[in-house]
Amino acid sequence: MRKTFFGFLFGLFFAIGLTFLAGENPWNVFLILAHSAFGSRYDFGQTLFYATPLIFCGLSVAWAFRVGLFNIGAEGQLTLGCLAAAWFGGVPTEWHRGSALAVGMICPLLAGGAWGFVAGWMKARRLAHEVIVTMMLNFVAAALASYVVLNLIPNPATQNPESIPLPPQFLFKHQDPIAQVFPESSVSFALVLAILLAIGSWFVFHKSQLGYRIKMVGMNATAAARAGISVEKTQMIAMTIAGALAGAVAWAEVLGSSGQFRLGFSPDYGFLGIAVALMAQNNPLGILLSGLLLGALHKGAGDLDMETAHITRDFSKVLQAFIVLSVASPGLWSLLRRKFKRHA
Amino acid sequence: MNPIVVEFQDVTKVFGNSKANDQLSFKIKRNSIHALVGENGAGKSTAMKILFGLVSADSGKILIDGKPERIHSTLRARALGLGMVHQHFVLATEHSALENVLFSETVSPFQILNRTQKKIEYQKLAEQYGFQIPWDKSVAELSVGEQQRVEILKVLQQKARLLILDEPTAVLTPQEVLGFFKNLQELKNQGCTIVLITHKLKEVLAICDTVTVIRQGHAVQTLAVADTNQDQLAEMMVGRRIQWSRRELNPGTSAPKQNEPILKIPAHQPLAFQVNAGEVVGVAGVEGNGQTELIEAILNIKKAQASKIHMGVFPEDRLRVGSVPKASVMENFILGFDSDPAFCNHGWLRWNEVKKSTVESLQKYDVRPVSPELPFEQFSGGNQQKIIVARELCRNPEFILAAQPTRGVDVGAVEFIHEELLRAQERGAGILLISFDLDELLKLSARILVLFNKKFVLELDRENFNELELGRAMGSGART
Repeated sequence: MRKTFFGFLFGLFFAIGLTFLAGENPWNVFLILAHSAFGSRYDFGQTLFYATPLIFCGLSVAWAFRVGLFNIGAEGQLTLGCLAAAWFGGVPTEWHRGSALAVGMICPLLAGGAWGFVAGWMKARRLAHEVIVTMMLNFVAAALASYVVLNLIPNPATQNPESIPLPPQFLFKHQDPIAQVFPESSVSFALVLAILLAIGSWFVFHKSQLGYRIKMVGMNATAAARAGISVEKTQMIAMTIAGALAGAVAWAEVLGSSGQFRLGFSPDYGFLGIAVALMAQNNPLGILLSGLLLGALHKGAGDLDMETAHITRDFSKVLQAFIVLSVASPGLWSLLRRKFKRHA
Repeated sequence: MNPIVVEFQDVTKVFGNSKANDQLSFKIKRNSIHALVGENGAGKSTAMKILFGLVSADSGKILIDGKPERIHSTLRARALGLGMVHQHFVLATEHSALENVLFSETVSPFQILNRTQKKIEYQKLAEQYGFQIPWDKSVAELSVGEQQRVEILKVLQQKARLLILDEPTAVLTPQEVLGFFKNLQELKNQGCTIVLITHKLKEVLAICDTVTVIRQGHAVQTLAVADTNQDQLAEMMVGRRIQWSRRELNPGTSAPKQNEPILKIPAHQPLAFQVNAGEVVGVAGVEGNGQTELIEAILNIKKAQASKIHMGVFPEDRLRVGSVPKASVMENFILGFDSDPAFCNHGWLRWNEVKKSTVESLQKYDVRPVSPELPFEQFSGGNQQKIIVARELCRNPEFILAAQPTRGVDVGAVEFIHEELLRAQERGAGILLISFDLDELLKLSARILVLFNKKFVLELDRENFNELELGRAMGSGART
């Protein structure tokens, strides 16, 4: 835990230090970052808006990690989830509020879960490597989304690559307590759901038989199989749940905010989810924190683009890269400590 | 010449939180066979790795021929005339014995090696020490004993005067051990010094001149073998008096219900056998002669008829297939039993119950420390095995598959595990004991089956036990 914290600080300051080479004052850069992430109620709301999908994706990656699989496919799973939610914009039916919400919330989980299950099934039953499979499924999902959004449910009102807006019955908007706390910003009730799912995941990991089996399979599949635990089944269950969690991004993006599928809406939430899970060492409660941190970085770096002369939006990628590298390499710390000791 | 070849002075090596070597000091006399004995994890291998330049010491000195030396690489160690034969051979199995020895030549990459000439040279060297090596056969075709001789020749070829042998007899049959001892004697007669890392005290008494007992990284004492005996050495190794089983052992002869097979693999299958209630059946054989297939066959039976007979399994490799090393003892204790209603309530685990039951078992089986939340891997080999024994025996299985039950386990725990097995047998359980350790089989079994080349080639009842006959069957599959 302490190592993670210092790793975060180390990466942050090192990356910010780099802006000196670009001719900026690092301290100034840091202030802009902090201010734009936490400076006002609106800014903080936007930070939380970015944090929500990151938490969902972090949980998704963590579920797969626990069973020993690397889910590179959260991006594809969330695409499918959002597509499933946005699809109802093209269904010309009169919706009741209740059924609309229920359908809108459950379908993304099913779609994302199905996408995760495909990867889990191919891993467990066909022995395909999950990294390759999930990565390829990302491309399939992206292509599918383009096709559906541009050809089947394009928004007739604009020229933008986006789908028909959902009827208002689907949206959290007016009954959303979180949106009322942060007026103007895009954050939604999905944040509360993300927190609940994180807590739920913690309980499943630590208290349930399923969580126990997932952990045993992840740490030593051979021994688990000898003990009568079905490795294949456990892997498929975990990947399906991982997919469903990534699919839940639709709650934040579609139901909670835009109400439609806008192509390219995701700044690689699925891949950032890997960093979120790594920083939290797959602890669901830690993921809440690391999701918030990476959300803040994303929001902050966006404003750097406008408020400095030399730094572009891509700087957030540089920041993330350094932070993830320094957090995810525990070896780095023992190396530094040894060096330090030798010189002392 | 200095009569002391190697001297360790206060050598300390720390791995993480544990001291592998703690101010280790001892001397090795020139032209002697010197044994390093100690339990698993006592630090004997680490000490030799430091000597051979594979591991660097944190502090302390090593004197070679009375001069302090910094051995920071194996190249340096070789230059000083040291050679090491590892427990797991480092041979290219596809290549011939000759090529394997050629690999160990340290010559310039541009020099041409004349095979015919080298072969003659090696042959001369081999004859000098009474070795017979089929030079042109690939290593995969050689017997384990022959492979070992190739390894030793590799070291001799480098003009090593001090040979470090790590558990050399672990894979040999009794006949091969006798031959190996002759080789060692010959090496000594020709002026070599030999360091033997072992935990078999019988061998120490049979072949060595001096012995250093290592316990918890520290040299307890170095003494002449002539002045000591097995009990004294064992006591020094463990640090307390061993309770050698005083009980009269009668494995399986206490009214084995002959026609009550607990487990049976029918005759038409390649590994046919039968274990009766209240009987310990031993399976002897050199590693890789079908043990894996036998275990698989039994596990398949377990899977297929899970409810019919209650089976306890001591896995052949506890860290790889028998446990989840990084998980806690509690978690390992319910591995395979997590659906037991005592531990599981509608899909939620009752960790309090699990913990209580784990603590009870740890106390009952004398596992130390009694810390159910500590990772499994942080226990010593003996305690790890006791945890597995506790897990598998606490539900009173009717059949026990004990594969290498005492591999890598300290002397005290070996006795304990043997007692537990015999207690289960007295209770009426059928036990199949698969072991590479012939002494263990002779001690516990009512019958011994010999595995050779994935078949049972010999079956002996307890009254006909004969170590040499068993050894012959293990080595060649011959029946007589």
